[in-house]
Amino acid sequence: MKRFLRLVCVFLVPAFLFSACGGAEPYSVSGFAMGSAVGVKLWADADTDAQSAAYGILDAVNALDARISATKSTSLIYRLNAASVGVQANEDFIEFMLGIVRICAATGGALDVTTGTLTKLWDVESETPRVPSDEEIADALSFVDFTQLTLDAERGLVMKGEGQLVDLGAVGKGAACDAAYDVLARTSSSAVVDVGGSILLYGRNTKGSGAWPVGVRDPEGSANDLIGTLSLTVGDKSGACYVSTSGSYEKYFELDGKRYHHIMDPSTGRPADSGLRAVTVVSRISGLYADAFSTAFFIMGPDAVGSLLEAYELEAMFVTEDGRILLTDGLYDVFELAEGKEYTVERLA
Amino acid sequence: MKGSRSGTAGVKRADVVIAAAVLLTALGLIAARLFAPGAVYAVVTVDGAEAARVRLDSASGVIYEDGHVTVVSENGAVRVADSDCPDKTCVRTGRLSRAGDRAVCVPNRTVVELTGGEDRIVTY
Repeated sequence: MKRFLRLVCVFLVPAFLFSACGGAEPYSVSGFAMGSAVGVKLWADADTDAQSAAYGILDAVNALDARISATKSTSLIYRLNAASVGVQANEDFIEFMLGIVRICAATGGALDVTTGTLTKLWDVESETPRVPSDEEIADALSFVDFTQLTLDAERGLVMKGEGQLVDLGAVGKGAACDAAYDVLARTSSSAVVDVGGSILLYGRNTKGSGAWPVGVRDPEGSANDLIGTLSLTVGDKSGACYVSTSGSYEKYFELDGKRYHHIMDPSTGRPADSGLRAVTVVSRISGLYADAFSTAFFIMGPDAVGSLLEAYELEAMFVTEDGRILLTDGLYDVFELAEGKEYTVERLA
Repeated sequence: MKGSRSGTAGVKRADVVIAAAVLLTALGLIAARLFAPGAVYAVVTVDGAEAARVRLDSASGVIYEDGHVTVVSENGAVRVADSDCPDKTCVRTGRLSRAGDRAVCVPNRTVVELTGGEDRIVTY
């Protein structure tokens, strides 16, 4: 009888442990921040309190939103825009802004966080968007120049040029993923954080090989229509992978058969027109990078981004208006086109 | 209790049979858990809190209504039939029929999502 029990234990215990692992469900919470839905799925290990980690992430994203929102009257950015010259800020915030300004400079101004006057003029996301006159665009453009931002860590000051409006819409969701990372780094869990389509993958996927399948929305389809899937692993050092997409399909209006989307080109003052429908950028270093460069690359086009891919260790996927998908080497091998899609898949030359 | 030595290595034949039966049952349970498609549920959350949950294959008609957003189920799919939000992105999202499909109404802080089966991660 003892032997029988021993035998049963030897087979059953591992079998049920395996069974439990295979079906492990994540702890999920959701909320709203950055003008979009936020979702957290967390597979906690024994040492991590899943609930406190998941809500810690939501709190961190909300806290960032409360600082950088352009519409909340208590936010630092709102107060900066309302001020004639500048506002006081702590060292962390100034460091955060410095990081963004460095990216603006690296892109040669293709990304510019002082495009607030243009955003306001076109008002693409409102109920009453309009196509402004050339004069109005020229006037709004005269305030667009990120080099006029002064970030003084010593005096704790953020200053701008007169009349300038700062808009962190192009970087906020990615920065929120960085804030989520800071919470996760104190745990040893696996997690997926989704801030309005900007994604943080953290740790190994507990299912399968450890890679995470990330669907990319088809810019020509409806909200739940995928163009294909990227199988992404996290970086060795960071334990994280960040994915952001910028496209002309998300926020736009149409007038006289022409589409006007929300990604403004700071060199023209008009919606960017580089022959692209969407750009997805992958970084294993920073969510800010993924988000900022997806916008910058959308404006710059695929031919102008080579040195930035290398310098910032980025991978990218471009969906062109003429039905091609261009992928950097690191993504070409892990991309699978969705069934029935008639895109041409190419390596980015 | 002392058993006869009819099996090998001191294990009774009956023990082996029972152990094998138990093991097969366990493996069957694991297989069922790993490969079963799983029921798909339509889940409505408002401000992060679950407001409705219905099994997709058994629901029909209005499954959620709060004066701002109306969600209906028909022919194995759900959709946001009506919303008082200005942009109507949620209504334009259309039918949700596969696990992972989602419609979001940011102004009303409402998410309709089909859960079950594989989770889906989407960048947009």
